Amino acid sequence: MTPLLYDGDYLVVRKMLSNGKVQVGNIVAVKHPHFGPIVKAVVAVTGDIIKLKGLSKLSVCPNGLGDFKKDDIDGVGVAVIPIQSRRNSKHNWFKRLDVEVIQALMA
Amino acid sequence: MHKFLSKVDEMVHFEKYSAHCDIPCKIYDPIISQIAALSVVRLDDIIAETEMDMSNYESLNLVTRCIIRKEEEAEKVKTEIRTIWGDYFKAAQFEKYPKIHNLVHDIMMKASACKQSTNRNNALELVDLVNDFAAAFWDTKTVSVEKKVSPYPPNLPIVYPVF
Repeated sequence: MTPLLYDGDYLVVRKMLSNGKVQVGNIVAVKHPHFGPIVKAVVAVTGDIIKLKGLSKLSVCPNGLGDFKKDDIDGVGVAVIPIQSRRNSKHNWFKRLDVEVIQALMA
Repeated sequence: MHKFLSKVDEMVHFEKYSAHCDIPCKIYDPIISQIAALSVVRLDDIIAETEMDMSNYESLNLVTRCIIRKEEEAEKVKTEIRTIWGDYFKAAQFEKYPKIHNLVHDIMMKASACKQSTNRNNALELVDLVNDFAAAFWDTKTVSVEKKVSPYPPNLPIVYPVF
């Protein structure tokens, strides 16, 4: 999930509510049947079907990850607390996740 | 903040989620197994070329080293092929290559045979089988292949992807 997330970062999530909406650019935590608990970006929402992908070019493609539903989402990312070594100033200890910024990273 | 959360984490153990899907993500290449198979042939050749003299520690040392390396290279073939077959091949690829299971099993058996003896024919057959696997692998990625003689001993034909 580089360049957004690095090993050791904390991801602050909110619970997915039954009436909550998922949109392209959300960062979500799900339990994948093969890969286990993973964090991915929502790249498409078609009806009930949610497609996910990593932000890295090396990440498995959406079809490789399979289809997800809203019930599969354990949490929606709200902010990143970068690991100490990644902080380049005392001001970026907390990074709020902006859907538009994530969408730009996916482009 | 991160330091604070780390302390809390130590106490409450936050649930851990991976931000990757495999290590390394999506990087599979049969070339490692192909080179390992070539190495098995090469090691058999070196053993055959060595004039064994049980009283000569130099030749004893050389052959012993070759046998150890041959064991390792044959095992590498098995590990690499199993990884690609187990982690990369999925329903779509199995549908395209229903015989891949038999091919993988044949490679396992042949690699074991290479460990058990210094018979060059076993090693040559291992190279052929691994080449077949490489051709199938690249075809699943719609990458065409060509067979070229390896530019190093034992100078045998190897399936290479054409990018």
